[in-house]
Amino acid sequence: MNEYILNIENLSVKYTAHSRLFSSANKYINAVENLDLSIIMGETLGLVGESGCGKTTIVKAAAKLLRLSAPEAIVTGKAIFDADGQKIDLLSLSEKQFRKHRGLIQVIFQDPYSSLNPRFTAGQIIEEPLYYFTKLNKEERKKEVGRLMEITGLKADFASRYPYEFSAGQRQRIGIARALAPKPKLIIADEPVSSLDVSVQAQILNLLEDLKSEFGLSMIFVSHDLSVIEHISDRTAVMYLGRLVETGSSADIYKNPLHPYTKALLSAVPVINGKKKKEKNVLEGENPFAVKTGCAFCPRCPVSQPICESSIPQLEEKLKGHSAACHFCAEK
Amino acid sequence: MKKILTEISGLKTYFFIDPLDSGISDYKYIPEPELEKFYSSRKWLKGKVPAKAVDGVSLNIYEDEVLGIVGESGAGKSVTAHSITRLIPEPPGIITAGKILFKGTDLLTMSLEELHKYRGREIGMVFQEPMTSLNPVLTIEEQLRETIMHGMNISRKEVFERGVEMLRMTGIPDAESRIKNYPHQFSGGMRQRIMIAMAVSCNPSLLIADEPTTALDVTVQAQILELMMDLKRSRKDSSMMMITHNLGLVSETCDRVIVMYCGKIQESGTVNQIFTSPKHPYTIGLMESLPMAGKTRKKLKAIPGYVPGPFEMPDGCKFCTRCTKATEKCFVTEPGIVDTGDNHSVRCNLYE
Amino acid sequence: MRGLKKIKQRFTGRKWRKFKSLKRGYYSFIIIILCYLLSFACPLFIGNDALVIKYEHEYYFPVFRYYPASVFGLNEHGETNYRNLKKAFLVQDNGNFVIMPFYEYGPNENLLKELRETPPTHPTSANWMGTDDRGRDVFARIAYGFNISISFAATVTIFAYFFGIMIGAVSGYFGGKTDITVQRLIEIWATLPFLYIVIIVSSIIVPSFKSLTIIMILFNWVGITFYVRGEVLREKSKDYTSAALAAGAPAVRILFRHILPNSLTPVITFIPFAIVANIGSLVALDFLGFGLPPPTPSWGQLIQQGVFASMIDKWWLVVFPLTAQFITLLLIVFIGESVREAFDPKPYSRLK
Repeated sequence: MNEYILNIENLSVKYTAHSRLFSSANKYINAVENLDLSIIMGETLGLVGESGCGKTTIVKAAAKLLRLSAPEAIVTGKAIFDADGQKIDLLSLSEKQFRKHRGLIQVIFQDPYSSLNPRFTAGQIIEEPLYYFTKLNKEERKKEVGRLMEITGLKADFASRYPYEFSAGQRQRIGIARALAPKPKLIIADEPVSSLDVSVQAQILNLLEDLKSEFGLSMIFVSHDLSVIEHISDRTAVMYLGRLVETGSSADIYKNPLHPYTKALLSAVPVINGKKKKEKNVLEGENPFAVKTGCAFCPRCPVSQPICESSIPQLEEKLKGHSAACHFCAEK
Repeated sequence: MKKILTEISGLKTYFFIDPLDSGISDYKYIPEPELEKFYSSRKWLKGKVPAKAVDGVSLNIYEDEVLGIVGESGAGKSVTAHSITRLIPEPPGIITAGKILFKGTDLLTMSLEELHKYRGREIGMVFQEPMTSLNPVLTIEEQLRETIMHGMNISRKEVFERGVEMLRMTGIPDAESRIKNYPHQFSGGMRQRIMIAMAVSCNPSLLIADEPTTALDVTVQAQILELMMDLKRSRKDSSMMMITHNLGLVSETCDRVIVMYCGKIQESGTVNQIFTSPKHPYTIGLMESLPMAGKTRKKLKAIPGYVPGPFEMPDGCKFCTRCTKATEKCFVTEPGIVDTGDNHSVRCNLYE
Repeated sequence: MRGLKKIKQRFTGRKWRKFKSLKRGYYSFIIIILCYLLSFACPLFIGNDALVIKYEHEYYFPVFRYYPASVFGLNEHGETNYRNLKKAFLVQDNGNFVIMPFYEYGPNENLLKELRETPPTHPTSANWMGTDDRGRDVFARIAYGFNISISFAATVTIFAYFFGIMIGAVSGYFGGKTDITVQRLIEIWATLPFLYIVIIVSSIIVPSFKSLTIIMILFNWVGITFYVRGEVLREKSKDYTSAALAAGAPAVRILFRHILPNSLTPVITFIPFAIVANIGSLVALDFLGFGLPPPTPSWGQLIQQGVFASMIDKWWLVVFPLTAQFITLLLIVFIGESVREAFDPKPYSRLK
């Protein structure tokens, strides 16, 4: 039984649709609903889904970062984190209590342009977590910044440059150096290569893999790009409209997808194979905003039955280490 | 032998920007002789420096084919597409050189009124951002009417019916009532379908699609691509120019491919040629660096370095700073395009 | 040394270079700053106190100190008329001399004894812009009034913006109930009628420079809160603030060190226009008689005299102050326009 570094239990994130100041009759939109997710220590968990599925919301909620980007969100549930043997429920802590532990969970953001303060130099950006999480003095911090930059493939004397002087790929490296600075145990990578040129993506992916094995990190890799997820993650979790629809090892999911949504997703990805035609499992319709009852995927599902509209399928283990939330996915 | 629908030769589109705006230190720029005539005739060019977005592109689009243009940001693919219908805003952009022969007539030298007859009628365009390509204050009916009446001289009632038919053809459910909705009442995928409907409503010979699915979810992308391929098949002898950075998409939809980098064509050939036996180091590098479903989990072979900005272009071959096979010659001489047989062309010193 | 380096970086930044390249605004900036700094030394250039007097081998500096007339051997009360003393010494020619400022008349000096007409008198070679109804030189009053107008406007702007920025930033950052409460309070505050309150206050106490600035600040701070709040809200949603939060930064640091410096663009572009507005307000208040107390040289008061005492006849009381105000405001508006242009995000960002 492997140790979990993060255990998300029954996490829900709600936004109020019509808020009234003095009435309790608020309508809610559920961005994420009753989600259970575990990340094993030392693994890379890929979190994949399309826009609006809640993958970014979950990881930001677990890292308590929704305060700034979505202050009106209401988060319930537990996120039990293993901080050096001691298990803490992150969501039950106040911001002040949590701040001590922030160094252990760090985030790499998607947009290389908005994730760096344009008025800070690269050195200042990377130095900030060192200032708050280490007891190094100024000289030592400067040295450490240089070291971090070298590790992530940047020249140390670029520390005095401003973000606009770097390319997108280099900015992502600065973001990675910043995330590594407080020596975290868990890195949340929120679509770190989606905004990069194709030729730079591979560099950053390789870098992340190297750093992960060198420092023994655990990683949650969020993306909408299935090829990237399959390449970099050990296990994959597929999300649709705020719910988990399938989890399992990456190899299993790609060779043998169980859930109809996963099947459609895999067949929709354009693949280089020299041939022109490919059997496509094209879905009807688009991601709806919210679903009232039953399975979230039901309206678009090619194999839906009446039961799908009334009861929400639970995520159950269908094959060894491979779970899906569907009433009808057959075990091969 | 297929007939040529569009022939582009020596296209050069430059964007002239203030050096202060792009963070380069001020230095005196002396315009090249071929640009002199622009600098002397246009006042706004004073003090501006050219960024060579498209720097000498020649390509052919044949009838009844899908041509894919692949490249990263800064490659010049989008600008090439916009140059065909002269949608380059001046300032800051100018098409400084080249010929674009569409069915024999040069689009670059004709007057704007003449060009107007081609836009929307003979040549249709689908843009990247479905969120912003439609006018938010006009209903779909009004916007469709604009396009349809531009190409055909028919009565109002017939315009309405044709509009509904176009929407139905592109898969919008309940077309008759939804034609009266506003763009914000549609989702991204639907808006793209509307854009496609508008683009093909006058049955153009050439459909230019500029990253039509980049802003959409993967499952919606599959739907839109299927729609576009169906439409193309149903219209005889029409051609499509598909611009994208997604190699997989190109492999599945296109007949021929052109690979662009830093404003120049680096390699061109059929899909089979490019994907089974790529010749240019850049193309090879791209394919090796892509994570692909089914590939074993080895490390990706990344292309070192990064795409040079418009003012950081190296002398010689534009790819030389990142090329693993670069020789001394590559840093000095820019290679020309060479046909390596069977119309598979490369721009690389290794093949000259 | 570190602080010095930081300032230098800011001034060699792109925005400053862009500002410098816009000649009209840059020169206006130089002119206004120079004139304002010089205006603090106004008595050295324009005034009725002599700069240096040599009398009986002793040096005296009336511009800095008060000397009763008896010091110079005259049988008068109070301070003597230094212009007459200068003439007297020239005639006597015994080694005593008086050096006067370039323009020999002061703003608060009553010239009744010297004038040939009843005041207000026409412009002459002695009094370049004539005198007002109390026989005081208009040119001197306008010159001294420049310093007061700008000082007043600058003080009000700086303090009003300081409070406005703080409150707007806090309101935007903390959101929720804080934001709602503050916004409602601001709305209530903004409905207070400025002019009525100033009139009421003026009739109870005679306003001084200090009290007038306080009243103006109390009314002016509201305007900028909306802009700062909007910018703070926008910056809050950007990833770098979340990154700072993840890096362990407390709320205060995120707000003041990360968000605020990036939110100040609209503030900086507004400052010149705010100063223009405040100068206008002061002139208007002085014109109505509710502004600075009487002996203070002010443009508004001069205009008031002119308007109420037959404008056509005494045109110099209206034309000169208005022209001075016009030129000052024009120059500051030029500065404002150039600042706005320097801060403008790139007009042509679509290069990709």
